[in-house]
This record gives sequence, C-alpha cells and structure tokens, in this order.
Amino acid sequence: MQIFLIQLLNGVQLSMLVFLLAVGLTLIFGLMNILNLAHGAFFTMGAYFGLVVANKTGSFWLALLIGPLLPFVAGMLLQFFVLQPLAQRGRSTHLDLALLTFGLLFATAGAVEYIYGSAFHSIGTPDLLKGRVALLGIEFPLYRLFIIAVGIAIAAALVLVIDRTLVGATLRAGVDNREMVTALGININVLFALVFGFGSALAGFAGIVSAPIMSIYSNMGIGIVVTTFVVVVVGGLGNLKGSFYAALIVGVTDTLAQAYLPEAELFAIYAMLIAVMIFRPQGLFGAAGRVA
Amino acid sequence: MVVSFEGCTRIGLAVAIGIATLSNVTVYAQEKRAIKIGLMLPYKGVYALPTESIDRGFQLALEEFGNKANGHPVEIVRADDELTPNVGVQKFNKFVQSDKVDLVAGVVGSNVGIAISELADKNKMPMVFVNAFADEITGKFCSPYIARTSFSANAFEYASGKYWASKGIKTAVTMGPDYSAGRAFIGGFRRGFEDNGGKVIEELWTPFQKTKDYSAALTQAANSGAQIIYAFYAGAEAIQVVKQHADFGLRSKIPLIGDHWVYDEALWPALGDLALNAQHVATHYPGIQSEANEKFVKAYAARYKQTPDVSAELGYDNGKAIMLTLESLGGQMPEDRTKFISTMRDLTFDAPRGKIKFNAQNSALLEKVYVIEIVKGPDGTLQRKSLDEFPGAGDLPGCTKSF
Amino acid sequence: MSTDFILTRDKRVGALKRLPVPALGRAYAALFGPFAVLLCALPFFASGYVVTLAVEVMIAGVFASGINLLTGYTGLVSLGQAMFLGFGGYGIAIGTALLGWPLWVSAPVTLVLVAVIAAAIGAICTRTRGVEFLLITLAFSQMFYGAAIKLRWTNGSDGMTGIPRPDLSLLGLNADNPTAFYYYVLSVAALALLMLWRIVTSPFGSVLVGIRENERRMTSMGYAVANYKIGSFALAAVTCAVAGILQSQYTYFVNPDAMSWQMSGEGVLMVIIGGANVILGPLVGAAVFVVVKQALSMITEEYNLFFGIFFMLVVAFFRGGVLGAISKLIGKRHERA
Repeated sequence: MQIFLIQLLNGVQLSMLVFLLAVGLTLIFGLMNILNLAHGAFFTMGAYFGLVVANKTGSFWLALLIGPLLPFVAGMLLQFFVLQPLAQRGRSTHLDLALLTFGLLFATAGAVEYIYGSAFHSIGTPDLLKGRVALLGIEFPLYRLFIIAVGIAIAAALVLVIDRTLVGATLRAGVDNREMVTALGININVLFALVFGFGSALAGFAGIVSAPIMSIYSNMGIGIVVTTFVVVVVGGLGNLKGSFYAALIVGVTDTLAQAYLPEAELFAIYAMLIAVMIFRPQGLFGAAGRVA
Repeated sequence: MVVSFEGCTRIGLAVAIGIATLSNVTVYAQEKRAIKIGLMLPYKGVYALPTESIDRGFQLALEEFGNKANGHPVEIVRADDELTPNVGVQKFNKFVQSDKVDLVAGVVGSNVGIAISELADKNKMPMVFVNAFADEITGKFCSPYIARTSFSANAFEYASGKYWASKGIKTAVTMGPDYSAGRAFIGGFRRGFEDNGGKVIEELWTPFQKTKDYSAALTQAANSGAQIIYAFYAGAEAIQVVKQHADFGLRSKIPLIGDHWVYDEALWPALGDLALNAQHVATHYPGIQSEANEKFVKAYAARYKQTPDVSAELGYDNGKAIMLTLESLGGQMPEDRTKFISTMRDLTFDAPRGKIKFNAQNSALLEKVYVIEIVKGPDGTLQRKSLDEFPGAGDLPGCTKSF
Repeated sequence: MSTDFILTRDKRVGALKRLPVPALGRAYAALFGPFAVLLCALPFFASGYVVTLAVEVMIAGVFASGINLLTGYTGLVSLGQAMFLGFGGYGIAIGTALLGWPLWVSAPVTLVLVAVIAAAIGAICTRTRGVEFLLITLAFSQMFYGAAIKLRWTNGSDGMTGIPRPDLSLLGLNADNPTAFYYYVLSVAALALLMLWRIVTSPFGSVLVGIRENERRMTSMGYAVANYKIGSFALAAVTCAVAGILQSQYTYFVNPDAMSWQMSGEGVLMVIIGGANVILGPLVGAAVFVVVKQALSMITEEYNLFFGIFFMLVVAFFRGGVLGAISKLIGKRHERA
C-alpha cells in the first residue's frame, strides 16, 4: 500500500510536468485552432536556454526565470510572422499548419543537435531542493515534490487569471467567439501571438523543471509531445481545466502501468486516448462548449 | 488543355537517378589500392560517450601500424548507425554498395548487430563486431563472415553473478534496458548468480532509449526486499539510473551494483561523487600490469591526454585484431575477403585486457574479469582499484552452422 | 471544425485523371515506352548502388501511393500509415519465422488480415475528420508501436530477422542477388501502382474525389460515404502493407521503428512533394525524397534538421508538389502557344 502511494506520487509528478506542456497546447488550439505539433520544440528550446543560463550563472533559479524567455519570443514570432499570415492568406488550412509545425519539431531537434551535439546534459538540483522527505515510511526526493507543487501552483494561478480577470474574460470570449472579441476593438493577432508565446514559455519552463531528473538532449521534445496530445485530447481540445485532470489521469496511468503492468506501459495511454475519441470525442471533461 | 505530366514524372525520376549515378563516381589513383574499413558506431544518442572512446581506441590501433597493412594504406569510412537497426541496415548497404568497403568494423548495439548479421552473411562481407555482446550474435546468428573481438554477455556476466553470490549476496532484483543486450547481460548474471546459490526476486525492464525517468522501476526495486539491485545500463541511461537511485535515497538501503558500464569512467564527470566507492566487475582497468597494457595506456595518454576507459580498450582490440589479420593475410586483402574471418579466428595476441583468442563461433574469449572499486587517488581524482580477479566464463552454445 | 481540406487546389489535376483524353493517352504511351525500357534496363548500365537506390525509391513509392489514396484522393490526412508498413513486415515475419508457413502463404494471408484490421480501424478513425483524424491515426500507430516494442514473442524492440525473399529458382534466379531483387520489386511495384490506377479511375475513385471535394453533396446524392471512406482506408492500408513486405524483404528484417510517427511523416512528405492526388506523384516524391536524403547523408549527419526544414518548405511553398509545378509550367506554355 505504501509503495502504491509512492507510485501514485511518481505518477502525479509526471502529470504535473505534462500539464505544463498541455496548458499551452490546449490554449493555442482553443483560441487559434492550430494543432501545434512543434510544442515539443519549445520544451527543448527552454531547456537548452536554461542550460546555457545555468552554466553561465551557476544558478538553477535564474535558469528557471530566464530560460522560458527564448521560447516565449520564438513562439510569438512564429505565430505572428508565420502561422497567422499563412492562415490569413487562406494559404493553409489547419491541417497544413499542423504539418508545418511537424516539420518545425524535427528541424528544431536537428538544429539543437547541430549546435550542441547529441550529448545528454543536466542542470543540477538546486541546493535548496536537494534531499528527501520522509513520507509514508519511504523517502521521497524533495525536488519531485517541488515539481508537483509548481504544477498545482501554476494551475491555480491560471484558473484565477482566467476566471477572475479581464485578460481571462477576453480569452474566454475569444475561444467562444472570435469575431466578437475583434469587435470589442482588441487586436486579435497580438492577443494570439501573446497567448502562443505564453504557451511556448510554459513548455520551455517545463523543460527546465524536468532537467534535473530527465536530462536535456536534442530529441527530448519529440517523444513528450505525443504524450501531451493524449492529455489535450482526453481533457477536451481547448479545455484548460480538463487538461489538468487529464494530465493527472494520463500521468498516473502511465506510471502505474510501468510499475504494475509493464507489458502495457507503452500503449496504455494511447488505448485510453482511442477509447475517449470513440466514446467522448469532445474529451472527458468537455461540456457542450469549450471552457478555456 | 491537356497536359502529360506522367512523362515529366519519368524524366524527373531519370534525372534523379542520373544525378545519383554521377555523385557515385570515385576515382582511385593510388598504386596499391587502399583497404577500406567501414566503421559503424552510434556516434549520437544514449551511447555517444562510450562510442567516442571506442573510436579513439580504434584509431590508435591503426596508427600503431602506421595506417598500413602490407603496403596497402588502410582507410576508415565512418557511419553512424544511431543505435537504430533500420539505420544500421541502410548504412551497411551504403558501405557495401557505395563506399565499397572491404570489411565492416564497430557496432555497439546488439539490436543493430542482429539486424546486420544476416546482411553480412548474405553479402559475404566480413563483419568484425567491437561490442554487440548479445550471445545470439555468435550463437543463433553466427556466420563465417562474422566475428566479435570483445566477448559474449555470458562470459562476462555469468562470472559476475558467480562472484556476487560468493560474496554472500543471496537475493537480487535486476534492472536493464529491454533489448537484446540488456536481456543477454541480465540473463548471464542471473544464471551465474542462481547457479551459485543466489536468487533473483524480480526482473525489471525499462524500454530501451525511451525511458528517462526510472522512478517507477526504482520504487518497485526498493520494495522487492532484495539485498541489491543488479543493473546493466550504459551511457546516458546509466547516468540517469545512478542519479535517480541516489535521489530516492536508496544507496544505503539497496545498493546499485553493476558492471563497468554502469560506472563507466566516461561517466564520472557527470556522476561526481556518486561513483565513489562503487564496486563493479570490469574487463579492463588502466592499472593492469602487463607489457601490452602499459604500452597501450601510455600511447593513449600521449595521443588523447587522458587515461583509457573500458570502451577505448575494446575499440583498440577491435582495430588491432583487424590489422593483425590483414598483415597475416599477406597480400590477399582486399582481393579475397572470404578468408578474412577464418584467418582472424586463428589469431592469438596479447591485448591490454589479457590474451585474446577466438572460439569456434568466432567470438573472442574473456581471459580475465577484474573486480574494481572506484577510489579517490592521492591527487583527489577518482581511480580504479582492483580488488580481485577471476577467469571469464565460456560462451553459450547456439551456433548450429559449422565453418 | 471546418473540414474542407484540399491538398491541391488545382482541381483540374484530379478531374483529368478520371477523364483520359485520347491525345493524352498517346503522349502518355510515347513517354511511357522509353521510361519502361529505362527501368527494365537499369541494372544493365547503372551501378549497384543506383539499383539499390531505385529499389528504395520503388518501395517508398508504393508506401507513399497508399497514403496518397487516402490523403490525395479521399482528403484524409493520416499520421499513422506507418503502422501498416509495420503490419506488412511483421505479418510475413510471423508467418514465415514463427508459424513456418511459406512466403506465398504468409504474404497473401498478411494482406487479407491487414485489410480486415484496417477496415476495423478505419471504421473508427473515419468517424472523425481534419486534425482529429490525424490525431486518432497517430494514436493507433503509437499504440501498435508501443505494443510491438513490448511484445516478447516478436523480440520486442530488437525486431525479427531472417525474413525470406521470394524463391525465384523457377526462373533460374536467386532473389538474394540485387539485380534479381530489383526486378522482383519492380514487378510488385508496377502491379500495385496499376491496381491503384484502376481503383482511382474507376467509379469508386470518382466517389472518393467527390467526398474530398464536397462530402455533403455526395451524401445527399445517396452515396454511403462512410463505407467509401472505410474502403479507401483499407485499400490504402493494404498498399502500405505491400510496401512493408517489400521493405522487410529488402533488409531481411523488421522492427517496431517501421511504425514510428516519423516514418508516417516521411510518407506524407513524399506525397506532398510529388503532388497529392496525382497517381504517379508519390513515386516522384519518393524519388526526390530518397535521393535528397542520400545526398544529404553524404554531406551531413544532421538528418533531422534538413528533414524538418525540407518538410516546412514543402508544406508552406510547394503545394501541388513537383508534378503540380511542372504541369502548371507546361500548362502556361501551352496557353501562350
């Protein structure tokens, strides 16, 4: 039983990492209807920029703070100068944008490898978070608890912003009815770019947070992006709260499968995704409409 | 308006093939034709660190012979198999058809080794494996065109299992990457361990090259009640496992014991103090007192400004076995490839790790296994100290062909 | 979500295929002759390496043609077609190595099974459209990919070796010989493309194009659109499985990587390069892709970088593909004349 609880904690920790990625993806999809397969690229970008900062300053916290800036800027530029114009020119449909970002995902992995080589890097655990907490008769690494706390904090902050602030109201309105927001005199393209950048920054943030555990390497974004899609679809495309619950379900399922049903570990979450798409195509938590 | 674009299709294809033909024309202007060795290694990915050492050791061996065999210059053509069987197959075909190599050396991953063993056999292309330790490579997939200059998984790990059982360890849980080499290494350990009174309580397998977070497996291992975790991991995967094992505070609770790859010297900078006092079995360490080893360590240090690790030694053996074979073949290479492997099999030489001989399945035998503890030397750096040594075990049977 | 996805907006291309004009037929025959001779004679004048490349092009071409039936003609973009590539390879590997059946039994059984399984998967997937279709096909292929990595009796991630090539001794040939294998692949590929051509020029093919152009209209015209989509999904899968069989025979080997999503992406890329919904487009796309990839591998190891950039450029600027571009060029010239 103790071990089961520890495995649950392991699962929740994975969930929170994936949640940080899923937030951006689901917001971008909800607002802009873009299936951004390149989301994993921003995960990689943030991790490497964080690595550079950590190597220069020796501080994990500075890396965590500054690292996401690069994916933020890159994401904004991508949306504002590439995706938005392509979509507006009627040049590409949503599917084309998905394929374009698929290419970007691999190009980024290749570019990172070109610059930094294929070695595995790591950012050391900060001193403050080294050590373990005695929990349920077993010791659990403090840093992993920190990841769980970060995930919950960000989820709570997002819910507050979206439910209680003007920005949030605008976002909600944008998801429901794009034209209406434009009619309010808000420059929708700038809003989109900002949201895209923010989502990318969160992905980059996740990359740095995961670095002390999972290593930084050129292909790190390619594998995780597929898991993120599972979360986004299970939670309902565009549904922010749904993605939080879905992240919990997916992360815990994946970890428990690894521990108790290793035969199924690599396909359990995909089987779940297919089941959801068959029986609840709007996602497990999607009500009639999308709730950003 | 009717347009025939099918025609253009074909012209396009013809042009494309034409371009490919042109790019393939190479002119040889040497008097004595060069012998080309295709060196296939996973330069990128989780095994990149040991691979760099292998490549260095290999080069050093060739340089020892002045990069010449019987007056033929010897050239290396490199290819990256990316530790992926499909890619290995493509690169092997490129070696054979485009680069026109005379033999292929290298290959670390047993998965790649298994995939290309059939090709080597069908193409009658000598394939001299540097690692590819899975027993099947020179068992089920044996061929008169395949040899391995290192050793089989069983030779190394059976001996290791026997050693730990003799040290009073009664129960173990194993962890390894779920692919041919992982299965072979852990299988060898298990046989040696259980034949000598130990008991493997549980085997935990993590998907190869896909696992980055080992928390689920480590948690299961911690709860198994075994005395030790015996693990086979290499390169980046080894770093992650050793670190996460320490993160969960398991070092005092259930030690992580492995072989020279888990605590590979190439990984020490990344592992820091986690490597200190780790005990493991190894096939080589720089302090072996023999003429061959002292010469090798000195030459390696002079060339690369560092002490050689296990992988460097294996790369060196691979290169040296090939050069010695080329020399004893007289002028027959590159004209006659068929005798290459059979000539190599008759070879005996003093390698840094000990005497190298081949068995009937073309696999080199492991003369000695060393038990190593990683200690701090007088200058504060980590060093390998030998605690014990014993002979390697034999190979598993399984080769049904005779050659 | 809107689903009016059309890979090539040049609708004439699709229409032309269904209405062959005699003049085109003659021009076609005139060009086809020399090309056929070239292909048949290739091993006599080209180097072994070129013959091998041609084999790779033809296998990739068959794979891409299968995707094209689904993507180009029916308008469904899948990121999971590589699973059928894997099914083909695993099918004959399991049949010959594990069950001990001869190849001529294993291969047809494999194709029939793939058709049945694909029809079942297709029945589920084709209920969705647009990006959801892309995601669910991706999910299916990832699921099988993961299962294959874990499955012990097919050797997990190591895959299966010893896949037999056909016994051509009746013809006095040995399929291990690259030239003999080249002719074997050439015949299978020609047969597969011919069948695909028959399919897309048949009324069935016209219905598929109709679905792509305007699904609602086809429904109101009384077509069982769902069944047509499932049918095209299954046929596409069988074609991909044929490519999978050839690929595994070419390398004597199959492993789960055949089902990776990058492999699916490569197939889609070939279709776009060659120009979706043109019957020979995928073959041209495959040729461009394989040759560029080979050329790149001689210059650099950074395959992902160029694959990604290539992919983006093709999607963003090169719509209609090589064939689309050429046909436009020729079209303009003719209009001027």
